Amino acid sequence: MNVEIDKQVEKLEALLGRIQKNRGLPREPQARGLGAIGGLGIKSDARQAAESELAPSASSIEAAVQSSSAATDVAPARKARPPAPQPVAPPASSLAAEPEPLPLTALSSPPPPAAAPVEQAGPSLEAMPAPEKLEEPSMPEAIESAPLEAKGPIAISEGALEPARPSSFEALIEASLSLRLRS
Amino acid sequence: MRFGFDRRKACALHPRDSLVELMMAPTPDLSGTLKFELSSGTITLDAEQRVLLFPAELLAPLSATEAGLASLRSFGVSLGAAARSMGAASPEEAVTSLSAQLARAGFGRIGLERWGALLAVRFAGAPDTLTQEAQVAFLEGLMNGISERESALYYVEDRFLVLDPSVAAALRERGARGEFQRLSEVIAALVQRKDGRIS
Repeated sequence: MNVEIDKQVEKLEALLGRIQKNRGLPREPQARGLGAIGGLGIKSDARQAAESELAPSASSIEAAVQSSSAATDVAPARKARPPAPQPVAPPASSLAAEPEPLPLTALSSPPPPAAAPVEQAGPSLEAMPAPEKLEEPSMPEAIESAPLEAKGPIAISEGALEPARPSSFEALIEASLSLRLRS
Repeated sequence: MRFGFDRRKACALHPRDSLVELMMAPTPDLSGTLKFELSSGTITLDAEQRVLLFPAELLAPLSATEAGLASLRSFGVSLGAAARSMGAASPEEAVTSLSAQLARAGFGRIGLERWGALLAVRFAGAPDTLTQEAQVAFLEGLMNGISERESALYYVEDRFLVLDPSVAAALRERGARGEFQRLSEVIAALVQRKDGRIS
């Protein structure tokens, strides 16, 4: 019974190989395929014996495939190959339709937290560089203005805010006597 | 130059009203001014004028009468004229001469302040018996003597403001009604003829 099952499996393996060959896919090694099938739980002691005996005889496998291909209709499998993907064009109605206006809540709502600005208060999660990589802070350079030079027709002398000082005592008396009461 | 007003020290109310205080610059030499003639029992001033030495308390009656005030004013005029003869071309020279004359008479010392165009006299060391009214009369004579101009003084906050007699009379009249009790009020009320403001 196990031998029959193994033969059927081999036929199916061969059929699968042909199908893959027709599709242009690289044919997997026979042993790998058997191993894979065995991985499915079909492998048995009898099959292991068959592998050791049948695997080297590729001609017998090909003959079995030829015989099985006559008995099994492979054409439906070829016809069942999915068609090449065609570009899917959106329906014309969807292109012609105008986009629906966004709800006002979407315009006025605050951005999601993911879109929030990167600059946020709080401690930074970035790792601090190693202390040996820190650059020594350099002293700020003094920015000094160019020496100012007084030029032009206007000259400001010291004590310009003070009123003109009378040169004589007589003028001092005269100025004081000229004062009148505000009406 | 100071801004604002402080009773403790003379300050300017406006940059244009800056204070310039003039004090006696050199110390005058008064040696030999008085000459005592013990044989004749007389004292002469500058070997020309006979003077008397008596206590300052005797000045009190002079401060109480118009005649006494007139006498003090006349005495001030004589001292002012003597100071003018010493030299009063510049304000500093005038202050020095006036101080020398006051010192010789024992009437204290004098200083001048200039608040813009306003001239103020500071008087210190006067006899206690010399009342404020007597001081005004005496200093008026002093300033008239040195300037040879008719002026009147208005007393406010330890200062004697040198003003035209009509202005000083108006200030006294309004001052009797409680106005112009502060120097700042007087300065604010004074205007100059030319530009309408103390400069």
